[in-house]
Amino acid sequence: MTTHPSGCGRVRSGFLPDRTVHLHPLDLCNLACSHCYSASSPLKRTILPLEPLRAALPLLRAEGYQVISLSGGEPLLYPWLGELLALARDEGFGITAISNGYRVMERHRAVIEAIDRVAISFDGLEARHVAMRGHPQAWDRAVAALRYLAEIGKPAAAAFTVTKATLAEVPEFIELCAALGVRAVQLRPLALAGRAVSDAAELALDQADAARLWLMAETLNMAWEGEVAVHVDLAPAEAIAADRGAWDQALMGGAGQLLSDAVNPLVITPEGVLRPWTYDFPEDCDLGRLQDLAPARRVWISRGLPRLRHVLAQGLQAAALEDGFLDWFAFLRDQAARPAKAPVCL
Amino acid sequence: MEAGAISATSAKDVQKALARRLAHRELTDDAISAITKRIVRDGLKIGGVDFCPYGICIDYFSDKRILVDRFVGEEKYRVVRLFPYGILVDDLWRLQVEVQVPELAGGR
Repeated sequence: MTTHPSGCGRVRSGFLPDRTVHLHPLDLCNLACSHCYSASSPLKRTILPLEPLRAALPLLRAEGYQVISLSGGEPLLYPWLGELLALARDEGFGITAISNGYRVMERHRAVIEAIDRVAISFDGLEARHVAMRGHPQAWDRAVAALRYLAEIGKPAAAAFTVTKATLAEVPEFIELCAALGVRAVQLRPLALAGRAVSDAAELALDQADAARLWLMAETLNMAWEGEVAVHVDLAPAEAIAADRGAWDQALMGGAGQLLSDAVNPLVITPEGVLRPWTYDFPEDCDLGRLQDLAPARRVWISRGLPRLRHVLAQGLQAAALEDGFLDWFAFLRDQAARPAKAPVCL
Repeated sequence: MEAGAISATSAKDVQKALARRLAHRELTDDAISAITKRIVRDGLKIGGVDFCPYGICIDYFSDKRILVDRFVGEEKYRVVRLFPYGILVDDLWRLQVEVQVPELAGGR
């Protein structure tokens, strides 16, 4: 049984500290970023109604999930956000959200206060951020959001998409975050998914960039210790393979297995689809829809889990053969999408 | 890299300067590759990496007994400290090492 190095004794499910639902309740966004992995935009209109979520939240809790992580689209545009947050809170979920910052202001304070931790997303320093977001105020609004969160004493984080073009901007960005009272910065290598495939593919990091970013993140984490925690979504391939034990619960299966033992994080799309691990995971690995969480229909989800165990086992095996640094969930997605000798997701 | 930047006084300033050197590609990809290969060892979990102008201090964690003879046989370390977490977490070992890395002092 694998526990955290901190010794807190909680049983881990995979590499995340908490059992997390990535809830994308809408694909509507006030921006249309050129690299958006969910291809969200002001023209999109898929919004997950509140009622199926109301029914699903206690079932997700019973499946062992602890945290609802809201994304989108822009989650602060979700029309029933206040009610959703209250329902999640009543079920005992921790709540986080990632936002472009446009609505992080006094007028929306009630919903912001109901979220435990808000992260504002960035795509570089001002010029590159504005170019990627396609809106002249994008930078000012995002920075103002961080300032506002500091003002009201809300723990703020920043998520920074790292590309070939923005790699050099990372140290200066962390410095800015420290000055704004941001507590954590997550460095996320550009995901080649959604709009990024056609509009930003040339910006993706290569292996040498990934090693550089990892080393830089380790350095910055030490440099800003006690002020800003710096995390990067990369790990040495051999460390990933060696930490296979973190997935014991997922690989074990069995009748008593909770969904959060098998899949962490679980993604819920604006259509209400239950998807393993990443928003852009191959659709033929989908586990069903929200209503399938009901005990009478849970069998449909259970039927999909052996396939995922197979994908996971193959991913861990493949990681052991890799050199360098991996964005694990993107790697797993690529392994699942790859035409296999034997079909992985039937 | 300007000499002034690396001669900063506090450890944190040195680390920030190194991060800027990494960001601005003042260390080549080959140097980065050599350094990361020396840090990533035997699938051990890396708890922390602390840089100075002369080298790196690394904290490794493992829930298996670490074979120290083999570990030190494959790399030259200035200092090696191994200690069990004991009562805190009975199956966790922590290994601290210091290693000299000339690439960090030499820029390119």
